[in-house]
Amino acid sequence: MPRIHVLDERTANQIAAGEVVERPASVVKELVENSLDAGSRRIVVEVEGGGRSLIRVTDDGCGMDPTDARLALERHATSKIRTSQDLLRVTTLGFRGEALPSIASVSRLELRTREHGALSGTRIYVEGGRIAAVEEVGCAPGTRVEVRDLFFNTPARLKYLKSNATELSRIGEVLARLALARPDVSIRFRSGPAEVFVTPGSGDLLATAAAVLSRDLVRALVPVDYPIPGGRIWGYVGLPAAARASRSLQHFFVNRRPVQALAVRYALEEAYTNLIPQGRYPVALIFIDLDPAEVDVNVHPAKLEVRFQREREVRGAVYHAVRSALGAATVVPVAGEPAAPGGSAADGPAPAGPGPAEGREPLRPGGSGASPGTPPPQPGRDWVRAGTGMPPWARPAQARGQTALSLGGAYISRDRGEEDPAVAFLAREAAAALSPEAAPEAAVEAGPGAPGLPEGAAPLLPGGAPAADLRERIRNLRPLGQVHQTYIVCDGPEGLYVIDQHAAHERIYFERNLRAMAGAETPAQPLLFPVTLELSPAQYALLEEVGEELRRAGLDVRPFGGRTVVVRSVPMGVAEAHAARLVLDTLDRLAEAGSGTQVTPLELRRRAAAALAACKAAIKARDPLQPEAIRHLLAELAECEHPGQCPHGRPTILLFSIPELEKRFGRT
Amino acid sequence: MRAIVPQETLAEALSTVSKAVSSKSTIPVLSGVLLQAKSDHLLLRATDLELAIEATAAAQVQAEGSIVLPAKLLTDLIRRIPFGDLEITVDPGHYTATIRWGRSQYLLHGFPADQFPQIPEPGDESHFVVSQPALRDLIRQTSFAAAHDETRPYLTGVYLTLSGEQLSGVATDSVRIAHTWVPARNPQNLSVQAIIPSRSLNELARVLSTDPEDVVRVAITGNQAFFDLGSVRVISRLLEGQYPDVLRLIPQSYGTRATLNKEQFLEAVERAALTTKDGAIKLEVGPDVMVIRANTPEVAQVQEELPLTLEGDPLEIGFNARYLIEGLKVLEDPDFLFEFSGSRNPSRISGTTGTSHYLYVVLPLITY
Repeated sequence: MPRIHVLDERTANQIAAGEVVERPASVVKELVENSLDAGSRRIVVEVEGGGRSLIRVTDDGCGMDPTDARLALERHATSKIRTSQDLLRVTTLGFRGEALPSIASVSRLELRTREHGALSGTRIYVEGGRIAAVEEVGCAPGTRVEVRDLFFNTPARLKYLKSNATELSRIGEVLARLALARPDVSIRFRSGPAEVFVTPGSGDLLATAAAVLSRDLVRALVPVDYPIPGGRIWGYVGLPAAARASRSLQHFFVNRRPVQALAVRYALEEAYTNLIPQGRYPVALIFIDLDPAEVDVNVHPAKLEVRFQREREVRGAVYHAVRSALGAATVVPVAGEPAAPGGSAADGPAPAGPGPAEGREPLRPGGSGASPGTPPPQPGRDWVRAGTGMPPWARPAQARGQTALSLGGAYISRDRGEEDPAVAFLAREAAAALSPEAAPEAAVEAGPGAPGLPEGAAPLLPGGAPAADLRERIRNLRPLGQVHQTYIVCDGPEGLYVIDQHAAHERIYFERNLRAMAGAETPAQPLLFPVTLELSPAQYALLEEVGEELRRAGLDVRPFGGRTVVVRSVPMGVAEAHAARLVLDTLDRLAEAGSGTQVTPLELRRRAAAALAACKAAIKARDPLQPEAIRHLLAELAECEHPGQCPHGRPTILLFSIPELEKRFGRT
Repeated sequence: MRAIVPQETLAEALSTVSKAVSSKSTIPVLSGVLLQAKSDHLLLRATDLELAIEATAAAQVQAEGSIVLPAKLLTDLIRRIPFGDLEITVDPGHYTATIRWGRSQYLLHGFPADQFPQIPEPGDESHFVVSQPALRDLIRQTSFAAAHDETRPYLTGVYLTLSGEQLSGVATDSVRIAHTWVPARNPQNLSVQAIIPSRSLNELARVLSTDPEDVVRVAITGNQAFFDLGSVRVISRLLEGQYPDVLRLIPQSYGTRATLNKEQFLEAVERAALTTKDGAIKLEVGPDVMVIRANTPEVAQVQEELPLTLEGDPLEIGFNARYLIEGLKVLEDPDFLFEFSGSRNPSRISGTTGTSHYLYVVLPLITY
């Protein structure tokens, strides 16, 4: 008996589905791409149960006639290419012609479509790959695809899906990418009864970014515009200060197709070398428009990866595009922010040097005197304009001994960097931002009172003294008062200490929450009039995951019908009035903390604790503090395991040492 | 305007009304105090638009008239003038007032009186009467429990209800409820419900006397409450909103009733709370003693024992010490009744003598 036989079409489709349709988000991606290819101006995506129970994509695109509609459900049926030659010039998003049949083979799929101008439309119902009905129906022009019970016939795949919240957030990510790629198309995304986002469809990339990402993020973006032969590189990149702990906010688009392009990513991150430290990733929306013949999109079945024919040139161009953008935005003086040494000194008659001032120089190779904000480079014949040398401020700083410029910037936690102070500052800040990942978690694992510092937490005092020393030092501080209702100023043995009240609170609450969640009792204050509030679907789903953790820390939030929840108790010490805000902020922060990757219960607990801590502290920030309250805060900070940083890695305390003060006042 | 007034009379009236001066208003005239000379007295008024206080000072008025003068400067100045009469004359054309005594003369710049907010007068017919010390007690025993934040503005006030000859007050911040009532004379048999900002009531309480013969006439109109003490009037805006029916939230049956000495208990709780960061304490209510515990790792461990008389089942319950302290401080009785309905339900505190109708209900702390 022959052992080898040709698979029947349904089996083949199911196997193909394995490549194209991994999870609800991939279904959404394929369907929305089809809608975009059909010339739609408006696309509505509705999901239920994280896409498990329903995905419905409705568009106002060109629609299909009955024959095409039927063909569309056959493998490798496509309107987008005809011969293999066309593959070289693909401009549409989809082309392999396997998406619809693949999806149909693992779900119950209904297609309704009508061409503009046709009198009636077509309805096709497919169940597990078998066409169960084809009929003429009345429907709106355009196409509507409804996918129900995804993976109902492939239980293995079904099992592989994550929680609804996670799947929903992946769909959100996919849609965000597609929406960013096509700001000219309005995409409305609904989950159950709730609207997750709507993009305006006005063609405005920033407005779209504000809708799908966040308004705050949009404020930290600077434009990129860089001509290349036969096209251009454009979009937005984030200021170094907006760098994230993950790459989830790096979006690359090649000819308007959202892609992952390693070459582009490398170039982007190279461009931020020395601006942000390792482990932090720049935010970017980079569009590369070029001749389709220069790109190979048929590398990956889901068309995620692209290859460039002239990869080195693309890489170089992206690098320069980003550097120009950052130069024009004079990023380096970001270091002029609070802890930034010499930000003002550089403007004064103080010792000149290659400090932040030089960093302001625009990014012209060779550092010509052009001013920031000069128009984007002219189209040239070369991919990269002449003089590919590193801009001066990107070179390793030669300057040493600029202590006068680095007044006070030093965190008491760290040794002075050797590089350009501005860059060193950024690096320090970001390194600090990183360490909490390691520090608090390690602390949990090791249990309270673990000696020494966990890996990743930098020494908290010059010379690598342990946190115990810092605690002792905080205990001995003499508070002088409050500045701007935000900072506490203290006199200490080494000099002037400045404490960020908010960051200190965060640290205190974080450790308290973590202890609470680890089992020690924290009292909760029940409320006579429980506070009700309505959550977004994503928030609601998130709450289901972390509700128990929050409850252990005293914040008792229970379902109350629909997406309404009721807050029945608040952690002791939080005013009832802040209950709703505490819940919303905590969930927002948690959502921001990341989704997607699998999260261990320990990590989830840590994140919940950090989010709750941050929000409790935010409630306390900008409180005028009485001297008594300041002493109390310092005492509590001194009790902390890691008093030197807030849970997100910002320093809680700065030291302006006596020698530095003397130097600044010219007393030496 | 021209009037002669004794320094001490004016100083007292100024210190009374200055409590209503708005400290951070954006309307400059509100930082002033209105002086109005009329027949035989000087009327002073200050307001921050939520609360207004008026005081009258007997004066020899030689010419009627009015002006608004900067409240803080005027108050501080008059306080430092030696005893004796002083003369105030106003130049209406320049909004200035000249104050003369002895051989001194101060010219102060002010605002025209017509810029100062008017206060609509209540109709005379609908009012009720409470003795001043009774109203003072009512305020003292309720207003402290009102909420401080503005998310539910109506909870920042005391809910006054007049029904028959009883004036009751209740305040809550969602964690505890303070309630009491005092007798009132209600000749017109009015029925009144109003939420009055606790801040207004606290200022009112400061001017109420302790003499049971002194009364206050209360009139409540659409959105204002008028408290007429005779020489002083306090007028407050009412808070809008539907006050929750909080008394319904108080459990009716209590499985555990402890009688304790108030001073002993209060002192012990205050001591125990010293050692905690946030005031979390535990009470073990036993058959013969109550044990107060507080445990702050690396700070202190507290155990205080107090005698008690117990009816019902022993239990353990947690509280925020602050709520207990605040609730007990306003209770006059030497002993008090502490009633519990399990360790997760509201507990009730009340007096034992029956002279006061004060009732305090507080939610315990729980752990999940």
